[in-house]
Amino acid sequence: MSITTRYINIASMCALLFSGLSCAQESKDFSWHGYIAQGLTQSIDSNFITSDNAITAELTEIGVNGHYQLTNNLSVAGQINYLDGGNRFERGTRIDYLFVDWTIPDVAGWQAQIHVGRFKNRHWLYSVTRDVPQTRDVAVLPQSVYFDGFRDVALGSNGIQTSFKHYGADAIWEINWSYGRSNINDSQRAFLLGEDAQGEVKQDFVHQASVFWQPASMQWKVGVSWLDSDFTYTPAQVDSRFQGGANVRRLMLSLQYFSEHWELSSELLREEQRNEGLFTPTFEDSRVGLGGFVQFRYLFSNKVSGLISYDTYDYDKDDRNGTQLERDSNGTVPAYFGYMDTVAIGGRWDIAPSVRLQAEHHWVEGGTRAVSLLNPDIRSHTEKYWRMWSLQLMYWF
Amino acid sequence: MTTPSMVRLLRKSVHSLAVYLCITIVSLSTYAGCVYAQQTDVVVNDSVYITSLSQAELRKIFTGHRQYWDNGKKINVFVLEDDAELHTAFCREQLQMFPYQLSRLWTRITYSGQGVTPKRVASQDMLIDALENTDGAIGYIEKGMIGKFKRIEVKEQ
Repeated sequence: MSITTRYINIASMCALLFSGLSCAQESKDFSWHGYIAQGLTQSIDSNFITSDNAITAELTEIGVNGHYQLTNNLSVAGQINYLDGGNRFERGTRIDYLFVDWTIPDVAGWQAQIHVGRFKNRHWLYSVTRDVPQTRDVAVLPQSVYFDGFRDVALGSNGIQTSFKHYGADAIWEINWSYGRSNINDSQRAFLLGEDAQGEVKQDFVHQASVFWQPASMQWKVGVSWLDSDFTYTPAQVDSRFQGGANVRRLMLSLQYFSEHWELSSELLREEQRNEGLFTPTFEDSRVGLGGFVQFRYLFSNKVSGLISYDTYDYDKDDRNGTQLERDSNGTVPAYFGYMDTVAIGGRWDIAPSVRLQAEHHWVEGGTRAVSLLNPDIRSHTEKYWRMWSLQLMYWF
Repeated sequence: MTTPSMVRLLRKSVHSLAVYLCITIVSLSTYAGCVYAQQTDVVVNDSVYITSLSQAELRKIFTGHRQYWDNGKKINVFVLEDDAELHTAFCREQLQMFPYQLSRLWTRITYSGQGVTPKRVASQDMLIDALENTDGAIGYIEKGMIGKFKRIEVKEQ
């Protein structure tokens, strides 16, 4: 994307945001909301966010959403956003979600919600609003679970999502199920199959389910989620890749604990991937990745909080230090791309009710989530030990 | 300090912190809820016909999961800002939540299209004014305060 296109995109989103602000924010059946965030960021000894250790302002997030209540049980909701995260994902304007929401108030004590259209993934702790800056504790979420290389596919899908909620005297239950697919853009294709691939990657489907439980005290939230997705690759007429496909299955456990002055969040995942074809007509390969994070936030006051987190991911559970990966690639891919361990600290200051300044610093060892393992310049992309930081100012209404 | 030693030091700190947190959580979990002197009453506009709500129903309303009264009239929820003492007391007593938990739920609902969240007002006077003059309104007041609104009983079951 050229600089001019980038500024046109930002200007259009700002115009939309301020027209939303100047309109009455609430009417009887219609409501507007939005956010704008700008930051400074840098990755040091890795091109994960910025190349050549440059400090950049490529940390921009702007979004506007609307919700229209058609009848007591039927509404339409949509959000458009512009995202720029440096090298982490493709920058540009996207329809974040646009769906019809049908609410069935009471089915044997359960409330059901059905979304048809493009919906957000609500199966993980932070997935439903991971591109909304004021809902995240850090700008760069733990990469074991919230892997930026595949962000657009994990954010949401086009299809159907249902959610059932039960508010009992002893506990709150939430059961979610969704089925759909997403479009794969060029940068995601390059991540999956390398820059040489010229054909089309299609996500055939993504099938997800999750269950969350909270006791009446509301101090705990515990959940389990499952994902199953198939991808197929159709090569271009002239292509170094072959017809093939991949299947990804992810099992995840989620936990949150809320106290008056601190909170703890954690998610653990097991990710299984099988590839067929793609690199040679008879190629077959499978791996199981393991990882997770634990994040502790302390609230010094209503306005100031601090955070410390630890995140880890092993690309293959049978090769946790990456030595086999290095051997199999004849040394092209150094062993430290077989894992990634990150320790992060962060701080947040709510300057006014809807204005926040957030800062963070990450120390990283390894690079499996930082770059595609098929990148021909992988060694120069990320060193074994690297760092990243960001400072972000945000406003929302 | 170099990056490798920083990673090792911080990882060690996180491990120690994790052990400490596990112990704290287990001890806090066994601590049955504190007893506070009730500071808030839940009230509704005179147009609302109900006299009581279960705690589960109240949570559904204040977390945006119930938008209409049984007679089809829109529920208008009013609350104070997070740092208001009365709001903190209401969250603790009536919803058994912390204000930041409630705020997070509302942000999640607002920015993922799942519904409409409560309206925030800046002062208790504005809250009372909204409760007295908005059809289908629900909110809270300091215990014992008198006005043109109706108190409702919140039942645990």
